[in-house]
Amino acid sequence: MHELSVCTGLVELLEEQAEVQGFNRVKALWVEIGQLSCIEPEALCFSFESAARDSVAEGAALNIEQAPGQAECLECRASFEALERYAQCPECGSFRLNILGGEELRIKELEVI
Amino acid sequence: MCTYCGCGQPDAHLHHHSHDHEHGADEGSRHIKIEMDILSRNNAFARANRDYFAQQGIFALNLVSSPGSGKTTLLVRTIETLRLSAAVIEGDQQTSLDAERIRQTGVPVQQINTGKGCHLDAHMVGHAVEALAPAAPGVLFIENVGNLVCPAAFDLGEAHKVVILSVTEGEDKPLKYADMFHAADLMIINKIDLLPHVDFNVGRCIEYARRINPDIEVLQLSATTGDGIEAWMEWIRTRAAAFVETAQKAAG
Repeated sequence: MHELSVCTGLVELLEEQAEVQGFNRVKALWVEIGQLSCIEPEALCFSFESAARDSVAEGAALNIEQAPGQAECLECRASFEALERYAQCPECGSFRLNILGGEELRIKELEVI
Repeated sequence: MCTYCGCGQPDAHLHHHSHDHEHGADEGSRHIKIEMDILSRNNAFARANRDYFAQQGIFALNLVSSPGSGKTTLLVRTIETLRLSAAVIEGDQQTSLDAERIRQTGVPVQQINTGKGCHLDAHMVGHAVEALAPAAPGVLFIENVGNLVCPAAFDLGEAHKVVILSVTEGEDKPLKYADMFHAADLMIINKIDLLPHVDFNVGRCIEYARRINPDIEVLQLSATTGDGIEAWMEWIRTRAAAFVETAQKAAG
């Protein structure tokens, strides 16, 4: 359940941003979570609510956008969508991949008051 | 389930990457576009640790594994055999039992109890390093909480993550816990003295690990009998020497 400590870090970032950007409360935030990242969106939502309590983000709506896993085959250079880290190249069957996308853990946008 | 989604669609908090709707602002609120890594606080602490290790010539290894892989036994054997200046940070949810085992080898050790936490983070490690004041140049072993999931996401500022897998576990663990094997530079297959008694295919295990991480290095050893330990010593000595040399050059 590292999602809880990820959320604690996320709330600390929001507290910092409140000072830097001069706002009092986060109403909503949009985050991008890659499909190949170590974060389970459901667990993140669940943890965020408790991590945000008594902070600038208490009650904020957390919107998660999932970025698909993108891989390039190191053998035949085919590009394809990878659902897992151990995905197999659909063209040549190789497991040797370069992961190009899907590892994101990013805050994209805030709605603040 | 998240009940706070603002989009008003069932399961809308899991909507896909591209947006076809605008996030309209209510009166009095404003939108701020930012690009910020969610782990950036941990990563900033990790950078500070890494800078400190580089300045001091402290070669830090982050040892990760499941509970029961033999990490502490391996660490004790390593310290006794290595004959380099070493220090240890021990991470466990509870107790200082492992730190006691390390202390008996005579090297400085700092215990971190994470309580309910399932991993070490860079902030905890920074404070432990302050308290420990490891001799420099030297090797710092950070024994993470026994867990193949969570520690993968948290950079501590180490030079390398080393994942330890014992032959009493499944050979398919690299596939099941792909994030960790992807993040590690070296996989140690431990307890090879038990291979005649267990159904563990070493070749298949290595093949699985390289599916996840084509560049991962592999060592096979037994911390109990000492088989294969010399190659592990060589791995540490070579990299620690190069690390310290780089640090000294940078320091002029």
